[in-house]
Amino acid sequence: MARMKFICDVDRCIECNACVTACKNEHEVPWGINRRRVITVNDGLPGEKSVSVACMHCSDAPCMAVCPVNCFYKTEDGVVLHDKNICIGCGYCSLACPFDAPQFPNSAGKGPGEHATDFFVARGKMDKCTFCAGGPEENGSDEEFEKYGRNRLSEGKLPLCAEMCSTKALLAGDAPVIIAIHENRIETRGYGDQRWGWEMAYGRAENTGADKT
Amino acid sequence: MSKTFGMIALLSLLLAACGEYRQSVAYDNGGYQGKQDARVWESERFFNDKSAWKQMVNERTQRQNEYDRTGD
Repeated sequence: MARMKFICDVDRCIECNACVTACKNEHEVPWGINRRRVITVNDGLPGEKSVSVACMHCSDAPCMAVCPVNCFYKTEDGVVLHDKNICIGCGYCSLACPFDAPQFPNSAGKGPGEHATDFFVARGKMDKCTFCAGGPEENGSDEEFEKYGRNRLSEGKLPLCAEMCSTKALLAGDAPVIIAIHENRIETRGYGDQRWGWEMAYGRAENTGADKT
Repeated sequence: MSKTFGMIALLSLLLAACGEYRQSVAYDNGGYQGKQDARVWESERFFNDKSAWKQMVNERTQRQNEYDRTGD
């Protein structure tokens, strides 16, 4: 069984934001929502690093654990998806996610000083990276595209953000394969063995909590 | 008596959200954990052929390794 993961090689990311643009274009993501974004630390200083962040499709996903309406599900490929017909836009997942992946469409229309995760701010249904795997609707259908964006995985393709990354800083695919690619790089260049977010997203064992479904 | 009953009712309400959903992956009745969804290889392109899908995805994954592409 494939376990689809992202690796962002911080020693290669050049903060071009092409992954962000590609994602928005491919899925026609509405204004105010960024499923993927690039974070830069020590901007303009020696040792500056950038990392491309989106949903990491965690092994033990906190969003799934806290969702009061149980709208999330995990596919056989390890991709964490959600059903927008069930989501009530409560924002719990946004508070639980260590990567700030869940996005809410009304966040752009919030008042001054308000945040999308504030309790009484109007939010739409949650939107997040789907690993280009769509949602519950029929694979490749117009309805699926409208709600979740393009389903590239069902076309045998990988997420566009990774496939078009010019420096190949962002890798996507089956975990053992992309780990092997990353480790080969480390051996070749001789430094930079950190897989950003890897331990947090995949370091814990699978959730074995009570089954409420 | 009513105070005790009230406390029990309040505790039940407060603790109701303290459990977690099981995150195990099982594909049953055309869906995962009760949510209907087709598997990715159940598309027009692959006609339910999992191995063909897996081969194509693995080939594309390997294309991300530029050391392979340059022959180094």
